[in-house]
Amino acid sequence: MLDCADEPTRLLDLWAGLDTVVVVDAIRGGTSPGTLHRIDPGDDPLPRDLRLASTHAMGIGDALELGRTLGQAPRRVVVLGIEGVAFGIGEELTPAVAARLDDLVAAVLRELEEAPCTSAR
Amino acid sequence: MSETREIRTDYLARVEGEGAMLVRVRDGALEEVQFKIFEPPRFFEALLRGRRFTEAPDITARICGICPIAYMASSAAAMEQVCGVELTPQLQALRRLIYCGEWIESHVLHVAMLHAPDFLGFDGAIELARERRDLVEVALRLKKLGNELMRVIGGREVHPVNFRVGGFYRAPTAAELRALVPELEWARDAGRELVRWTAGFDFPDYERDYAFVSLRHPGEYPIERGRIVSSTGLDISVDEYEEHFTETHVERSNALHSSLAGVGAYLVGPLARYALNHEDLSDVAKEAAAEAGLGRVVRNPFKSIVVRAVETVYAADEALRIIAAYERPDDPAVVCAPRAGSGHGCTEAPRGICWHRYRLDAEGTILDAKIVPPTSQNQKTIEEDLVGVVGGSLHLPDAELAHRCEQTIRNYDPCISCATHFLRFEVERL
Repeated sequence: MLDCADEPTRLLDLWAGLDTVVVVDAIRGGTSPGTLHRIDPGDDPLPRDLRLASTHAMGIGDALELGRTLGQAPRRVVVLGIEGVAFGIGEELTPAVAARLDDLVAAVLRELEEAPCTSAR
Repeated sequence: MSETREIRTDYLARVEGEGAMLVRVRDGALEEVQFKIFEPPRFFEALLRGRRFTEAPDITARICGICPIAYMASSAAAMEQVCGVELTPQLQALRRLIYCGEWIESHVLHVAMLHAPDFLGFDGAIELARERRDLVEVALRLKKLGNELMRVIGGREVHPVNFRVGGFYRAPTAAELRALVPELEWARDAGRELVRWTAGFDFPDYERDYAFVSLRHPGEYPIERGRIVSSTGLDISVDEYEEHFTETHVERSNALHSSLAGVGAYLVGPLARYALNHEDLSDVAKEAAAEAGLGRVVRNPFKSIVVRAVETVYAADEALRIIAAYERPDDPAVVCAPRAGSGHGCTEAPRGICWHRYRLDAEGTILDAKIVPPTSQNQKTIEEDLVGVVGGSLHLPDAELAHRCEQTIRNYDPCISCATHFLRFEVERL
């Protein structure tokens, strides 16, 4: 488990040497709150507008493409997240989102079970 | 040329945060230029009220993921002033050292990933990496070193947890810092490579006689302390800031516009620091600047990218100097007992001075806070640059003109996320 709260070029360092990466974040995608999203781009780029919840300069998709260009991206990157609804300062998890947390955890574990275990961090 | 056109960039790319730009030309003449910041205000100053004075560094660090140390150092300095304490020389040096890490990671991110693509005709860092993989790899390694310096002293790279009012929770051992020396020596050379590379860019022919504002401290290039000075003759303590600088709200921006009394728009950041403190750069940084053909004052805002690279060399060199002289302090912090009063702190964030004021009660509860980040101070100057650049570039087709304008804004490495702290907050109690 690695935590990244700043701009996404640092993801490249965090991802160094990893084969499979599962990115977990809150998602704002215009669907109903609590919707579980799974984005698996395969060898294609991630959607251009997929950004970390910060408003910093590069999106996570850019970080992946930069890593691929430099030959240092993980073989597989999957993004999992739950559609959120309350993004204000100090707001608690809404019931609609909290109700899907177990499903999200199960989804993360499924991704990891499918991944060949070449390194563990 | 008699024409009416409007050039609009709704979402500026390669800046930290959400901003926009509008240029309106009527009958061939420039009618209006707006640099808009619409990232929502974040009410940090209200958030601080009622919190303990010791919490200010950790809370304000959250204003920015790129320059948390600027907020931590300015707020801590203000609190130390209220408490009437001064850091020991070793603790002061450690604060300066962690700040060097921030300068390196922030400057390199901007120079290589965000700004250089403008000069080379690339859309962004990915295209640049395809053409100049070597340089992007160097930039990422430099940035990683900056983050590593912040981690070793601050406990983690982003929003450090080991920083406190009065110093640190734990002082690193000399061995922990010396382990960074080989990479810092590499960084000093790699920084010079960045200087040479950026100095070779084609720069638009544009200069202005800016009112530069920066800190100045005897015998050292300003980072974490100093008086506030300007190229217009200002020389004040940080306590006197509000007597000379005002902030006003303008409709188009969620960040306040700053103005220097009797002068108007002014510029903070690398160009200002460099112009006002050139003699305090280290020899290796001066050599790098001279080799790049920079004079003692740089008035072309597009060349700020070269000055940032020079400051990267300086930060690596300064970090090496501090580490060579480092002796682990007996106490990782000076005891700070609160008392009622106001305190002011000002430090040189990578983008320019970051000024804080706090008022505490006798128990150390924050009664009110004011934070003036560098990007809001530069807003007026950015708009004036746009007027100047657009005025001289009206012959360009729209797409090229829009790009030139965006590049003009990116000269300032604007951190819009930082700037939108402003407070218009009314409480009605019935």
